[in-house]
Amino acid sequence: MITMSHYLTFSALLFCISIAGIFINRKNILLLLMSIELMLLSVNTNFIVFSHYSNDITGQVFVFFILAVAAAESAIGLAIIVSLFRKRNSIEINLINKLKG
Amino acid sequence: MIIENTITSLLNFIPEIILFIMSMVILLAGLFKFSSKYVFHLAVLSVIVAFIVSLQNQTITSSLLFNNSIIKTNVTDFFKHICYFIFLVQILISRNYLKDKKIITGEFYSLLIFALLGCFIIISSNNLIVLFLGIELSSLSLYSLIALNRSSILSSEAAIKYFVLSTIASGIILFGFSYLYGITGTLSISDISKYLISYDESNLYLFSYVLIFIGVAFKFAVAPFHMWLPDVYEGSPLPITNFIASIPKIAFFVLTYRFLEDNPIINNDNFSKLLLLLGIFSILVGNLFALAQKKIMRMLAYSGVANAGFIFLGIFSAINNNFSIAAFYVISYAVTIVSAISIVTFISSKKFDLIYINDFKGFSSRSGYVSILLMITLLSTAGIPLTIGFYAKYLVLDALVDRGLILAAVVVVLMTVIGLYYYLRVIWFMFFESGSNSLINVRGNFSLFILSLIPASIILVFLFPDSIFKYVFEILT
Repeated sequence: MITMSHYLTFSALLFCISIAGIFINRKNILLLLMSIELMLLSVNTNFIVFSHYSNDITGQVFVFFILAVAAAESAIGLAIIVSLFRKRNSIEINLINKLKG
Repeated sequence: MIIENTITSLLNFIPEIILFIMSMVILLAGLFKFSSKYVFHLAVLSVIVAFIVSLQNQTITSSLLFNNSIIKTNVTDFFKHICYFIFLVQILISRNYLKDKKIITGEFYSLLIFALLGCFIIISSNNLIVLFLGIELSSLSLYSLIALNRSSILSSEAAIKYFVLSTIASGIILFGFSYLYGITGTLSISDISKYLISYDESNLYLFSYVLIFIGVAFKFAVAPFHMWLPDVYEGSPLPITNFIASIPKIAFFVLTYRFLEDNPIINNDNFSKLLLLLGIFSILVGNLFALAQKKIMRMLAYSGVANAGFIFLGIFSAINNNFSIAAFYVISYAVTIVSAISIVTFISSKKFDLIYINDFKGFSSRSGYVSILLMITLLSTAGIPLTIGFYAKYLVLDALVDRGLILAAVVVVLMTVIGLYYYLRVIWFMFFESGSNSLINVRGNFSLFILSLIPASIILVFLFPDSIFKYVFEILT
């Protein structure tokens, strides 16, 4: 039997994986974008679970807003990556080091 | 608390609606050759009109608009007016800089007004969905604004750094929201902060508040989460730095105020320890790292980290619901940093970007007036008497001593003294070193007038502190 706490553990795990993905990843910026998406999806899972178990629809409304904003966010992120790629001809994270004290 | 119907809600929300419509109009105006010259005038005009309308319908009693999702009180009005003032100073000063960099376009002003609108929505939201949309509206506009200068490699780099860390912050805040929703079953902030938690829920409630405050700490750039700030300050165009340094900080302060107002969690030992530790660590890191900087914007960024620490200490000392100290600090810091960055924007010219602190050598022989303005501003950030920054720092320290945290107060004072060094170094370079740089711009009577407004008010408020402090104290307690 899958209970509410299973779902919550699942989404907390997803959240941790996405944070780890952002900080461990040293290679590619696109992986950063994917991790960010994963983070927002774990939040969505949380909202859906809470909204399902408390019979309240507002949590699911929130999920739609998060999905829409996440799409806009990754569009802007990709645009920034494109403008970075035009100058640098690469999107490796190691090469983003021009700003230094 | 009056609950308004849709029509009166719309009437109460006219300033924001004006900003929204005008940013669309500016975007359109930037497209055509005959109108693209006037985008700056349109932007200034729309902000002034919104400011005047907002001054006209100030609230006497607090009201809830749009089905309880927007709140309008005298606190939100007051902070919005401060934001309008700061924003006007910023866009009036930045015109020549933008012309030199060739980014004076319709989309620039349109996005900038959207960012301002996002901050206003953060300030006045009473619902987690609206709050989230406000945060995203302001930060999505800022990502694209930072990257707008496409000829500069530093801009895109600053944009990607700001993008990644700011989205992490939003994600963490959202994760906290989801737990808050799970516990309280509501999305209305005023209900959440008054929610009576039972004993076995209290840990999760605390956990969600900690998550939200870590996200807010990211946005404030408090110490362990400050990595993005120096790079963004250095890489983005100066007018955008000016915006990021001031208005989002005010907005996020009002957000913390909305979350902690009338909330027993502020008296929770663990939670207030978190605020205290973040604040002190941030003051340590900010002041020590600022000593080593050679670039002016990075130095201001680390000083911003230290000042964000003071803001957190102010929030920490807001026991018994007294947020006036933190509010006074936020306002004084935001106004001062705007003055400092505006002066740097003003003196950067087409041929010469003022980047290094060494560039200030002999600046007083080039323009004594501007260097005195910069001196007043820097002394205010350092917290020297005769400036508003002194009162702000004094009140925070006073509150710390009141709570019996003598050791913390001593550390903070020591760090402030160390911090004096890097502010005084700039002043020393300006007045006592030779080597004037003739490429620095000091022309423009109107800009000089605008620039003098803030240093003048910094000193005036020191001489007559009652004027503003009494008002802040009145509305925030």
